[in-house]
Amino acid sequence: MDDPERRFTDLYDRHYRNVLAYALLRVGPGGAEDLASETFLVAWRRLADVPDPPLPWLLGVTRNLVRNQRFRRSRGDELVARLAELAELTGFVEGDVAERVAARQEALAVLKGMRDRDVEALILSSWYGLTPAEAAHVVGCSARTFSVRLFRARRRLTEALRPNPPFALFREQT
Amino acid sequence: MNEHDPLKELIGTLRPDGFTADAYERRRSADLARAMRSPHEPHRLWRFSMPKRGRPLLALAGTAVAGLAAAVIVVPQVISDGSPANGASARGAVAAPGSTANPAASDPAATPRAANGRAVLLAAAKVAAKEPLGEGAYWYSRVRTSRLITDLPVIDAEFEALRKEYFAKLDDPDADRAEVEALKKRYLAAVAEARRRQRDVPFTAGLQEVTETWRSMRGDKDREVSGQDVKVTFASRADEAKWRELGSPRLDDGRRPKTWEGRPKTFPSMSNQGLTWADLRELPTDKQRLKDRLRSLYEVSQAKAAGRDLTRYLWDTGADLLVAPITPGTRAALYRVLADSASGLKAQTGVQDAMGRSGIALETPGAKEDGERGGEVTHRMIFDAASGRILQIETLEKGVPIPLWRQTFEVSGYVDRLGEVA
Repeated sequence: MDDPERRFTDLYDRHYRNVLAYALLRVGPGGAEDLASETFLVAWRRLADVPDPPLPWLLGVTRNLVRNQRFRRSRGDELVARLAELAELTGFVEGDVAERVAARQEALAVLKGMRDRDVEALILSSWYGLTPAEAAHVVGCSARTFSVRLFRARRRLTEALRPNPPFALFREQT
Repeated sequence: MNEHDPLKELIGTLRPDGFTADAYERRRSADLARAMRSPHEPHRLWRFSMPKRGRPLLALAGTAVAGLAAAVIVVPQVISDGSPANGASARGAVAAPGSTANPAASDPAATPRAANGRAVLLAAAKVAAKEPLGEGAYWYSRVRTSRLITDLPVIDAEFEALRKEYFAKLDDPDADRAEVEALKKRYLAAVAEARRRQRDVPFTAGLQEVTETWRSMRGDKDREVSGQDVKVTFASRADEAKWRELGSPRLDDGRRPKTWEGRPKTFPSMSNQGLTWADLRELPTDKQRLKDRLRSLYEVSQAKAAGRDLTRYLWDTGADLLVAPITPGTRAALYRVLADSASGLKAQTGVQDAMGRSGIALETPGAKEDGERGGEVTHRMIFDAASGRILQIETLEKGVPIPLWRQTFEVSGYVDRLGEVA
């Protein structure tokens, strides 16, 4: 049945993990869970506004909540540092499969030094498969601007990987 | 980007899946409960969907039913007398002329018998058409909702304190490394324990509550009082004993009576947000015209967007409308529409609802949808053979003695004032 509570539960079950992953990029791990909860509270209050697909809308809410200063951004704003910290935490929870650890190290190495907004562009398209228009909605820029960021980030990434890769993509464990 | 995009895969390895899956398990029940304790107000959409063609009810009240409107209590269309013993706020249900007496009482030996779904629906259409056209300032309903408990509360104060301490340390650049490592170990052990507890709910129980709603038919404020008569019911004594063994954890999500007033709160059917409360009285009373209207609503519905087929849509939307303030003519037409798509429906006579009222059940097998818990499910509605009114709607899972979800429509009908019960 189309009971609002069921619809909301379904929304939560499908998208909580995505929303939290994004929140983790914006604030520290402590604040991120509260930020994700807050995002879904907004979604419940405005259930009839939630479009299809809902994810870009949800991530946009998350981003606005951070912008409204209700959540403290911790330890600098550098995304790559936050990703490194997360990679470590995730490794522990997942039980550290060696291949994944190596791949993460490599990803972090190539992202280092890139602009935050470019890293964010890569993440939105890679983690969530958002189209440029959807991702642009999340970060609050035009689809064209977003495409440029994504292109720039991908080119840098390709260059970093091609001529003299710092690590093999999926290197053999010795 | 193609399927095997190495850059995408590389960045994908940084997605903290383990972390988020863990948080999801821990936070789910508290997050859902917290959100649902607060009201949701979809007024933005109303800006677009409030029809210009106005408020037909006022016109109706002024003409055709002027005689009825003059009564102090306007003919309450009571489905059935809603057992005052249940009523936290019911000050005695008023049985209206034309409403049915408790059919269970006159039919104590009722036993379920298979019936022809199409014939049953056509019979329901006939009786529904004869019901009087109600009128009143508010559509009142008293609904008991029951759901299967699938999660145990796992976030206790101790766990929360540990989590806060650990995350604060993580956010602190000057924290001692060894201390952080030690905290991390404790935290992850607590997470593992919480997840283990949450996954196996070793008993079968349901959570019930009563919600009373006054839906204004004239554009005034609605009122909703939820969280009344909150009850946990166990499938058996053995289930209750298992719960006690666990130390009797609290299962009611902290729900307590909560009154919400405002307008407008909801849509009659969540899947059809182009359809407002005001539209309900104007729905066609002719089968073909109603079918056409439902088909066009389906085209723009969230059900279609979610990949549900027309048959499933008709069932869901049909149930939404049958419990809403539609006219007897529309109700009859709706039963005829459902009869036309009844090939997959099973019917049973002599079935009782949760209040012991006897009725006719219609069942359709439910496809398991992504995100829906459980295995093989059945959607079922029970209606009163004498009036065609819906008594109960539920989703049952094979082998589970408590319904996954159930709404029992204890009382509904038109009343004149907020707070007045039908």
